[in-house]
Amino acid sequence: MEEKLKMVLSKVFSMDKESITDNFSIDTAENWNSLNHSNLIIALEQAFNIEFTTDEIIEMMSYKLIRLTLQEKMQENSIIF
Amino acid sequence: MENFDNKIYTLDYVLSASAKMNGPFKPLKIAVVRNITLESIEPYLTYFIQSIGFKPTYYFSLYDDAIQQIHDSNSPLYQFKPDIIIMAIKLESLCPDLFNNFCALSDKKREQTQMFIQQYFEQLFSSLKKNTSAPVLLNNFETPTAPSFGIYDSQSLNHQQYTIKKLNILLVELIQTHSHIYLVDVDLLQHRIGSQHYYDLRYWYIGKAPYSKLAYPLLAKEYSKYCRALFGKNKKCLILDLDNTLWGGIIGEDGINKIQLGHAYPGSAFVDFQKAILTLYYRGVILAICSKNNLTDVMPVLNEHPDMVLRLKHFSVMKINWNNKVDNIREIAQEINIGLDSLVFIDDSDFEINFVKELLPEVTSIKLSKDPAQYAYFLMNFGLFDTLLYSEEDKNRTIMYRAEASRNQLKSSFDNIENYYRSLSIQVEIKRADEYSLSRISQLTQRSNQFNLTTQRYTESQLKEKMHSLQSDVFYLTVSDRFGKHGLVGVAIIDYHEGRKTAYINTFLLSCRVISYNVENVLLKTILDTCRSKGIQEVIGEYIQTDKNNLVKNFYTERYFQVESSADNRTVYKYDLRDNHNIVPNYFDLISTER
Repeated sequence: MEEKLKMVLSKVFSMDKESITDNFSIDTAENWNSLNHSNLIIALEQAFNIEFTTDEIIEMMSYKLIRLTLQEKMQENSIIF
Repeated sequence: MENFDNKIYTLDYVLSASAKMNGPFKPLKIAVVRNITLESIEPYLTYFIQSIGFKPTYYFSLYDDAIQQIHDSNSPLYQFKPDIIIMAIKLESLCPDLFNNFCALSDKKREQTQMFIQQYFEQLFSSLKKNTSAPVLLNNFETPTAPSFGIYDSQSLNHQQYTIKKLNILLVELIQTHSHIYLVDVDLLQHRIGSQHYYDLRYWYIGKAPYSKLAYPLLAKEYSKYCRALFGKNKKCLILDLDNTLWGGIIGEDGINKIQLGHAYPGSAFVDFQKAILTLYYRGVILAICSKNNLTDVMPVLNEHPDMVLRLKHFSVMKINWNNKVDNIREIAQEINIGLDSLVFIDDSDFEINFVKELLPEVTSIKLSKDPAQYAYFLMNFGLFDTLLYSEEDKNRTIMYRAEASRNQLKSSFDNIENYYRSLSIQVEIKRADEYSLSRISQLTQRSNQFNLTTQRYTESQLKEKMHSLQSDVFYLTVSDRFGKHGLVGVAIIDYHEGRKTAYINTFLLSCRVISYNVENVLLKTILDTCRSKGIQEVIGEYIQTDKNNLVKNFYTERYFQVESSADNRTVYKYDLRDNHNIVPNYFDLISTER
C-alpha cells in the first residue's frame, strides 16, 4: 500500500518517489496548494477505490496523516466485506 | 482514440494519456470566468482539447470577479486575449435565495430576483460584445433535484424548479441576439449522469468546488465538443459496415429473411441504431458504406427489406466489395473530396478496426461493442459530428453529392473538358454578405481547409462586424448548374486600408465541391474590379501554408500576381491594378455580380 501511495503522491506533485518521506507535508512541499490537494484526493480515491469524509479531506495534510487515514479506511472496508 | 464503451476517465488516465499524445498542436487560450472553484477541470480539459489538436493555456479569473473582468476593457481577462471564454456562473452563488431560501421568498421578491438575473446577463453580454470576439461558452443553470417544496414544487410554475427552468429559457432568449455566445446545457449533463454523481458536496463546503471527479471529465468533454465545432474539427462523414452493424447476422449466409432487423430484439435495437444514423443524415452528415459483401446480396435489403430505415438514397458512396477496407476508405475520401480526418468508420470486427487504425490513423475508427442495445444511445451521445450551425446547405448535402456523381458520369462522355463545362450550363453569382448568408459563410470559414488561402476562421459576430464595416467587404459566391445547386460555395473578405491605395485579401476560400470549374476566377475578378472602381492601385494577396492547403500554393502566381515577400509559412503577393488580365473562362452560362 505504501508503494502505491507514494506513486500517487509523486504523480500528483510531479516529483521522485524517493523524496516522499514522513516529513512530506503541506508545509514542506512546494506545490501542495489547494488545487493539487483536491487532485490528490481524487487520485487517491480512484487508486484505492475509497471515499474520504469531508473532515478527513481537510485533515490529511501530510504524508503521514494520509497513510494513517488510508490504513484506517482499508481496515473499515475489510470488516464490511 | 474514442472507445465504444463509456470510458471512466480517471485523473491518472488523463494525465498519462495527455503526456503521451503526439502533436502537432495549435495553441489555444482558454479563459475561465466563474463564481465557483473550477480549477480541477484543467487536466481533463487539457486531455480532451489536445485530442482535437490544440494545446491549451489557461487563465482563471479570480473567484467571483466576473463582473469586473467582463466590464473592464483593460482587465486581465481581455489582456490574456483568449481564443475562447468559459463562463461558469452558478446560480446558487449568484442568487443563494433562489436555492436555499426559496419558500421564504414573496412573489415580489422572486420577480425582482428574476429581473436582476436578466439585467445581470444583458449587461455581461453587451460588455462581452464590446470587448472581445472570442466565442463564449456559457453554462446554464442546474435545476435542484431536491426542490424546496418537495412534491408540491412541481405543481406550480412559480415554484423553485420552474422558476429556474424559466431562467434557463430566458438565457436561450438572451443569446439569440449575441451570435458569439453559446449555451452549455450543464443541467442536461447533470441529468445525464445523475445529480448524486454530478456533485461532490465535500468540496462545495471546503472550497466552493461543486463538481465531482466523475463530472469534471464529462464537463470537459462537453466543452471540447464546442471547440471541435467552433474550430472546424468536427467530423463530416460516417462510414458504416453492414453485417452485424446495420443489422444482426450475415446477409450472405442468413439471407434477407433471416437477418435480425425488425420489431423483436435484437432486430429492434438495430432499427433504432439506423434511426440514430438517419438523424445524423438529416443533420448534414454524409453517409457511406464500406463492407465486404456481394452487392447482389445487399441491394435487395437496401431496396426492399420492410424494416430498413436507411435506404440507397441516404448513402453518398458505397464500397460493397471484397477489397481491403483501407483502400475502400481512401477511395471514399477521394470521391467525396474530404480529408481522412473528417471520417468516422464504424465496424464490428476487431480485425478491420485495427487494420484501418494502423494504416489510416487520421480516421476515427470505432469498434461496436457486443451489445446492440447500446448502439443508438452511444451514437446520439457521440458529439464528434456536432456543429453549432445548421443551414439549408446541411439539409441538401446528400442531394448535392449525388448530383456530383451524375456530373462525373456526364463528364466521361466528353473528350474536351471545356465542352463538358459548357454543357453543364454553370451559373455563377457573387453577392455581398447579408444577414441570411452569414451563418453559411461562417460555417465555410470554419470548415474549409483545402482551398483556403489564409485559413482564417470567423464566427458570425466577427463576420457581422466585417460586413458592416466600411473598411471591409465580404463577398460570397453561389454556383448552380443543370443538375442542381451547389449553393453558397465561396467566400472572399477584403480589407481596405484607409488613406492608402491598397486592399488586402484577408480570406479567399472555396468549398471543395466546386474545385476545378474555375469559378474562383470570377470571384477574384470581382475583387479586382471592385478595388479598381474604388481607385485602389494594388491588391495584396497572401498564402498562409497549413498541412492541408497545398492545393492553392500557386493560386496567386497562376493568376498574374507577383511575389512580394516570403517568410516562414507565409507568402505575400501583389497585383497592380493597372494590369487587367482576363482570367474568367468563357464557358459559364451566366455571371452576375453585385458591386
